[in-house]
Amino acid sequence: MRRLALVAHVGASVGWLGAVVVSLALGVVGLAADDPQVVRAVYLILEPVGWTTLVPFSVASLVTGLLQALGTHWGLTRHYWVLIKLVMNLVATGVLLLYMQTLGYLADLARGGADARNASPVVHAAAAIVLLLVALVLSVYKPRGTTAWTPARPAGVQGFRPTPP
Amino acid sequence: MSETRGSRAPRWVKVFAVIGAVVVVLLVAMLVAGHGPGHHHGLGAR
Repeated sequence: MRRLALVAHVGASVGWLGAVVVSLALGVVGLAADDPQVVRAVYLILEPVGWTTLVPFSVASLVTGLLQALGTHWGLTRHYWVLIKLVMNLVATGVLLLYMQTLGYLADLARGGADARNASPVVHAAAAIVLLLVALVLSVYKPRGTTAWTPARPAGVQGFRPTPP
Repeated sequence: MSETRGSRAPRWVKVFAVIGAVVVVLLVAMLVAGHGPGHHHGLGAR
Protein backbone atom coordinates (compact mmCIF):
# COMPACT_ATOMS: atom_id res chain seq x y z
CA MET A 1 0.00 0.00 0.00
CA ARG A 2 2.87 2.38 0.84
CA ARG A 3 4.51 1.64 -2.49
CA LEU A 4 1.24 2.36 -4.24
CA ALA A 5 1.06 5.70 -2.45
CA LEU A 6 4.64 6.43 -3.47
CA VAL A 7 3.87 5.54 -7.09
CA ALA A 8 0.85 7.87 -6.98
CA HIS A 9 2.93 10.72 -5.56
CA VAL A 10 5.79 10.29 -8.03
CA GLY A 11 3.33 9.92 -10.90
CA ALA A 12 1.39 13.05 -9.96
CA SER A 13 4.57 15.08 -9.47
CA VAL A 14 6.12 13.91 -12.74
CA GLY A 15 2.83 14.65 -14.49
CA TRP A 16 2.87 18.15 -12.99
CA LEU A 17 6.43 18.75 -14.18
CA GLY A 18 5.52 17.48 -17.65
CA ALA A 19 2.46 19.72 -17.82
CA VAL A 20 4.56 22.74 -16.81
CA VAL A 21 7.13 21.91 -19.50
CA VAL A 22 4.31 21.78 -22.07
CA SER A 23 3.06 25.15 -20.82
CA LEU A 24 6.57 26.58 -21.15
CA ALA A 25 6.83 25.27 -24.70
CA LEU A 26 3.44 26.76 -25.57
CA GLY A 27 4.43 30.06 -24.00
CA VAL A 28 7.64 30.19 -26.03
CA VAL A 29 5.72 29.37 -29.22
CA GLY A 30 3.24 32.12 -28.37
CA LEU A 31 6.04 34.64 -28.01
CA ALA A 32 8.07 33.55 -31.02
CA ALA A 33 5.42 32.67 -33.61
CA ASP A 34 4.92 35.01 -36.56
CA ASP A 35 1.51 33.69 -37.51
CA PRO A 36 -1.19 35.58 -35.51
CA GLN A 37 -3.43 32.49 -35.64
CA VAL A 38 -0.76 30.42 -33.92
CA VAL A 39 -0.32 33.11 -31.24
CA ARG A 40 -4.08 33.22 -30.73
CA ALA A 41 -4.28 29.43 -30.54
CA VAL A 42 -1.53 29.31 -27.89
CA TYR A 43 -3.29 31.72 -25.51
CA LEU A 44 -6.63 30.02 -26.12
CA ILE A 45 -5.20 26.61 -25.23
CA LEU A 46 -3.08 27.63 -22.22
CA GLU A 47 -6.13 28.07 -19.98
CA PRO A 48 -7.72 24.62 -20.63
CA VAL A 49 -4.27 23.05 -20.38
CA GLY A 50 -4.02 24.65 -16.95
CA TRP A 51 -7.41 23.46 -15.73
CA THR A 52 -7.09 19.95 -17.16
CA THR A 53 -3.45 19.16 -16.35
CA LEU A 54 -1.61 21.72 -14.19
CA VAL A 55 -4.25 22.14 -11.50
CA PRO A 56 -5.25 18.44 -11.17
CA PHE A 57 -1.63 17.27 -11.10
CA SER A 58 -0.59 19.93 -8.58
CA VAL A 59 -3.49 19.08 -6.25
CA ALA A 60 -2.83 15.35 -6.71
CA SER A 61 0.85 15.89 -5.92
CA LEU A 62 -0.08 17.80 -2.76
CA VAL A 63 -2.62 15.24 -1.57
CA THR A 64 -0.48 12.18 -2.33
CA GLY A 65 2.52 13.91 -0.74
CA LEU A 66 0.52 14.52 2.44
CA LEU A 67 -0.62 10.88 2.50
CA GLN A 68 2.92 9.73 1.82
CA ALA A 69 4.33 11.82 4.67
CA LEU A 70 1.66 10.97 7.20
CA GLY A 71 1.60 7.29 6.32
CA THR A 72 5.33 6.66 6.65
CA HIS A 73 8.05 7.17 9.23
CA TRP A 74 9.07 10.41 7.51
CA GLY A 75 6.17 12.33 9.02
CA LEU A 76 4.98 15.74 7.90
CA THR A 77 7.01 18.03 10.16
CA ARG A 78 9.72 15.69 11.36
CA HIS A 79 12.30 16.28 8.62
CA TYR A 80 13.22 19.63 7.14
CA TRP A 81 13.23 18.30 3.58
CA VAL A 82 9.66 17.03 3.87
CA LEU A 83 8.48 20.24 5.53
CA ILE A 84 10.18 22.42 2.91
CA LYS A 85 8.67 20.35 0.10
CA LEU A 86 5.23 20.75 1.69
CA VAL A 87 5.64 24.54 1.88
CA MET A 88 6.91 24.68 -1.72
CA ASN A 89 3.99 22.56 -2.92
CA LEU A 90 1.44 24.71 -1.06
CA VAL A 91 2.95 27.94 -2.44
CA ALA A 92 3.19 26.57 -5.99
CA THR A 93 -0.40 25.28 -5.95
CA GLY A 94 -1.67 28.55 -4.49
CA VAL A 95 0.18 30.68 -7.04
CA LEU A 96 -1.04 28.39 -9.83
CA LEU A 97 -4.68 28.71 -8.75
CA LEU A 98 -4.30 32.50 -8.66
CA TYR A 99 -2.47 32.51 -11.98
CA MET A 100 -5.35 30.69 -13.66
CA GLN A 101 -7.13 34.09 -13.59
CA THR A 102 -4.34 35.52 -15.72
CA LEU A 103 -4.49 32.62 -18.17
CA GLY A 104 -8.26 33.16 -18.37
CA TYR A 105 -7.70 36.83 -19.09
CA LEU A 106 -5.16 36.04 -21.83
CA ALA A 107 -7.61 33.53 -23.33
CA ASP A 108 -10.33 36.20 -23.32
CA LEU A 109 -7.99 38.59 -25.10
CA ALA A 110 -7.20 35.97 -27.74
CA ARG A 111 -10.87 35.07 -28.08
CA GLY A 112 -11.66 38.70 -28.72
CA GLY A 113 -9.10 38.84 -31.52
CA ALA A 114 -6.57 40.98 -29.62
CA ASP A 115 -2.87 40.24 -29.58
CA ALA A 116 -2.44 38.38 -26.30
CA ARG A 117 1.31 37.90 -26.75
CA ASN A 118 2.90 38.09 -23.30
CA ALA A 119 6.00 36.80 -21.54
CA SER A 120 4.12 36.09 -18.31
CA PRO A 121 3.31 32.39 -19.02
CA VAL A 122 6.95 31.73 -19.92
CA VAL A 123 8.23 33.42 -16.76
CA HIS A 124 5.76 31.59 -14.52
CA ALA A 125 6.38 28.20 -16.18
CA ALA A 126 10.15 28.64 -15.93
CA ALA A 127 9.88 29.53 -12.23
CA ALA A 128 7.63 26.52 -11.66
CA ILE A 129 10.14 24.22 -13.36
CA VAL A 130 12.94 25.51 -11.10
CA LEU A 131 10.75 24.95 -8.04
CA LEU A 132 9.74 21.44 -9.12
CA LEU A 133 13.34 20.50 -9.88
CA VAL A 134 14.41 21.69 -6.42
CA ALA A 135 11.62 19.54 -4.95
CA LEU A 136 12.86 16.62 -7.05
CA VAL A 137 16.40 17.06 -5.74
CA LEU A 138 15.13 17.21 -2.15
CA SER A 139 13.11 14.02 -2.70
CA VAL A 140 16.06 12.10 -4.11
CA TYR A 141 18.83 13.31 -1.77
CA LYS A 142 16.67 13.62 1.38
CA PRO A 143 19.18 15.92 3.13
CA ARG A 144 19.54 15.32 6.84
CA GLY A 145 18.13 17.50 9.54
CA THR A 146 15.20 17.04 11.85
CA THR A 147 12.99 19.79 13.15
CA ALA A 148 12.19 20.84 16.68
CA TRP A 149 8.94 18.90 16.33
CA THR A 150 10.78 15.62 15.99
CA PRO A 151 9.81 13.09 18.63
CA ALA A 152 12.80 11.96 20.66
CA ARG A 153 11.42 8.42 20.51
CA PRO A 154 8.89 6.76 18.25
CA ALA A 155 5.34 7.71 19.10
CA GLY A 156 3.61 5.25 21.39
CA VAL A 157 6.68 4.46 23.45
CA GLN A 158 5.88 4.69 27.13
CA GLY A 159 7.24 7.80 28.76
CA PHE A 160 7.63 9.51 25.41
CA ARG A 161 7.93 13.27 25.61
CA PRO A 162 8.37 15.32 22.48
CA THR A 163 11.32 17.67 22.30
CA PRO A 164 10.14 21.18 23.17
CA PRO A 165 10.40 23.66 20.26
CA MET B 1 25.88 17.09 7.07
CA SER B 2 25.13 16.09 10.60
CA GLU B 3 21.74 15.11 11.93
CA THR B 4 20.38 18.13 13.71
CA ARG B 5 17.47 18.10 16.09
CA GLY B 6 15.84 20.95 17.89
CA SER B 7 16.90 24.55 17.67
CA ARG B 8 19.96 24.23 15.39
CA ALA B 9 18.94 23.92 11.77
CA PRO B 10 21.46 22.58 9.23
CA ARG B 11 23.18 25.06 6.94
CA TRP B 12 21.21 23.96 3.87
CA VAL B 13 17.95 24.75 5.69
CA LYS B 14 19.24 28.25 6.51
CA VAL B 15 20.14 28.74 2.84
CA PHE B 16 16.63 27.63 1.83
CA ALA B 17 15.12 29.97 4.44
CA VAL B 18 17.08 32.96 3.09
CA ILE B 19 16.17 32.17 -0.54
CA GLY B 20 12.52 31.64 0.46
CA ALA B 21 12.44 34.95 2.32
CA VAL B 22 13.92 36.77 -0.70
CA VAL B 23 11.33 35.16 -3.00
CA VAL B 24 8.49 36.12 -0.64
CA VAL B 25 9.72 39.73 -0.45
CA LEU B 26 9.96 39.87 -4.26
CA LEU B 27 6.46 38.41 -4.65
CA VAL B 28 4.99 40.91 -2.17
CA ALA B 29 6.83 43.77 -3.90
CA MET B 30 5.47 42.66 -7.29
CA LEU B 31 1.94 42.37 -5.91
CA VAL B 32 2.19 45.83 -4.34
CA ALA B 33 3.54 47.18 -7.64
CA GLY B 34 0.42 45.95 -9.41
CA HIS B 35 1.54 42.64 -10.85
CA GLY B 36 -0.63 39.63 -10.17
CA PRO B 37 -4.18 38.32 -10.46
CA GLY B 38 -6.70 41.09 -10.97
CA HIS B 39 -4.05 43.47 -12.31
CA HIS B 40 -4.15 42.72 -16.01
CA HIS B 41 -3.88 46.24 -17.37
CA GLY B 42 -0.29 45.76 -18.44
CA LEU B 43 -0.92 42.47 -20.17
CA GLY B 44 -1.38 42.05 -23.89
CA ALA B 45 -1.11 44.48 -26.73
CA ARG B 46 -4.66 45.58 -27.29
